[in-house]
Amino acid sequence: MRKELVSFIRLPDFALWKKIGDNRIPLSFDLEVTARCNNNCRHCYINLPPGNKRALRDELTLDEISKIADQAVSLGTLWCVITGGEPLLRKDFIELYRLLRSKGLLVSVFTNACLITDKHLDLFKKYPPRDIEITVYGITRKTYEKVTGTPGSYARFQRGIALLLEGGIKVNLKAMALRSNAHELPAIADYCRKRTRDFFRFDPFLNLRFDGNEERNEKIRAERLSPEEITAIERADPERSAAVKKRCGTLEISTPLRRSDNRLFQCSAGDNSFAVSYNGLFHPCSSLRHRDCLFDLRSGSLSEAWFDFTPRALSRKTTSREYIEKCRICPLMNLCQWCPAHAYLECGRMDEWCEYFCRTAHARASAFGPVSA
Amino acid sequence: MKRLHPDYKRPAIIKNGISIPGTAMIEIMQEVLSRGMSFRFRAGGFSMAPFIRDGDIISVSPLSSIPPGIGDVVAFLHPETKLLCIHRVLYRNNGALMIQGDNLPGNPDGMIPGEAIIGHVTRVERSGRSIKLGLGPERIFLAILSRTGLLEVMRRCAVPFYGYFRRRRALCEKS
Amino acid sequence: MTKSIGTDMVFARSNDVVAREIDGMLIIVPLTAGVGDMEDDLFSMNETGTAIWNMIDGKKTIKEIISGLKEEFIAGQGEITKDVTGIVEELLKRRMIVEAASS
Repeated sequence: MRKELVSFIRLPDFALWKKIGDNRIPLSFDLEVTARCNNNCRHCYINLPPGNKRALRDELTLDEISKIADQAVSLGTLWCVITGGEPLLRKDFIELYRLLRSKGLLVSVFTNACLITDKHLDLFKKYPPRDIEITVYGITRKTYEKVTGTPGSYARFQRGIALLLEGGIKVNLKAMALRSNAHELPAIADYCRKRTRDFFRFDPFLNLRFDGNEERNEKIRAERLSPEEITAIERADPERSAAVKKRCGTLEISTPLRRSDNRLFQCSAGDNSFAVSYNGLFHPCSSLRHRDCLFDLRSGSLSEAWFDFTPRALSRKTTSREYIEKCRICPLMNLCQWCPAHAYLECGRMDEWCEYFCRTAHARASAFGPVSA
Repeated sequence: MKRLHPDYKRPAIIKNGISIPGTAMIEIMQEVLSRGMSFRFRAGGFSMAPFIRDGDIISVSPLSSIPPGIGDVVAFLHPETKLLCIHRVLYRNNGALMIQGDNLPGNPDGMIPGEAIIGHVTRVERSGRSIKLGLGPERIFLAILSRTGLLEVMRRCAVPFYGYFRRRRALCEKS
Repeated sequence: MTKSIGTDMVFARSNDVVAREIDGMLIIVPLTAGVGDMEDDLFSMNETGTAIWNMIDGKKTIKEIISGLKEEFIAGQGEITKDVTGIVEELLKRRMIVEAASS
């Protein structure tokens, strides 16, 4: 007779979501709590050694993080992703996590799981995270440690992941498709699918270093699979294959409207999320590292960064003919990793055409699409 | 200050999954559908009024082996805007579908490739009740009316009686 | 059957949740495990529920909340009383509020 007092809306409550979309509320942010890592992965765009003095010196303090989080909460932020480097390397991780949770934030943690202890397990049991996201670099010691460059890391990873899974913590597993683990990828996928909470995904696209370290960039390039290899593994994975095919179906129609528009940022960067790097710099998107798009939260407020700086930084236009003629009107845009942030990391300019992205997009189009480009 | 609310509603707790903006939402929907389950959410917008109204709860179900046909209301990712849209199929041509919102006369979404279709709307709930109109056999008739522009004529006639016929933008959600 | 809610009882918001207002909408974020059901990340309340939530402050009695609600909404005493005790029971069950020491 009486209706239920509790109604359940499965997944996104559209009303709130739409409101947030209209009002430019920073719903979520990535908080890079350190650039240091216990592993030394070949493909990593950020990792510095655990004891790196400069990284340690520049890291945000707990107090600074607390202030940034307070400002974020007052702007309406609901969700924080703690990332790194390896977040658990911070001595104050437990405090940091509790601090963010106590402000009413949902918290996700990106970690390699190697440093998980019973203390962390107790913490996550008591104050559940939204999820713990772990990258599985390999499922044999040889492969895993070839990627991480750290002897003993595979055993630590296995121990950490077992602790979390046995403790019933929400764990999401994912993988990077690398030269060093490509032979094991199907087995990694299988391992992840059997254990992951949500759905498994893998990423074959490697960013170059945020710090521009050329020696490390060479290693990253060497870990990249060729466009043909990427499309081959995408084709071998039915879910991924379906997703790419779906994008192919939407190719041609995207052309006409793009021609007259020379705004550089056509993405959703700065709409509902932002990122903060370990040294307190605000980024409208976590991959966006161009100096004109950074705002120092140590000398200004988050609200300035969000309301004043971000719209200005993202209103940039470009006159680069190469980009306008090659990329802007390209019908393969949907299949391409190109974006101003990636272009900057790849070629040092935000409006530059990048050969590697272009080749990959064309390979995907010819492998999946009805469109010949 | 005293504020009187004439329409008292029973107090209710609403349990939410987190609302994630961006493609994540679409991915979640696709994931749910790919597992053969239907995805239920609150619609926002006016582009399908009066058959689907702002705030209605709609269920999107996976496509069956039979492709969507004339009159079906489908969920798709608009190729140009990347927005999730819930609109009606007017006709088919070579595997692509001409789609338009009932309340967006003369403003079709264009020929949408079959691959862009995520699922079809199987249920609309309003104030706890299931709404059948617009999803039954009459859907074919509605598609024809919409295609010929007659739906718009009927809408105009109905305006004095029906506030919901206001033309407002899109049952499209930002993706 | 849970303990029945008396009109002179006083409730306070639990330390296990944080209530936030985002764009005018009440969002309740559970902090510790076991608040609400397992899989939920967030709770919200409709307008009437929000009005009640805002009056659950560790001071007001249920009776006062009922009369506060009557000032804001047009509805019968019986209906409001039933709804307020209903929602309080529900919140209590989900550990989102706790009984405060009666004043």
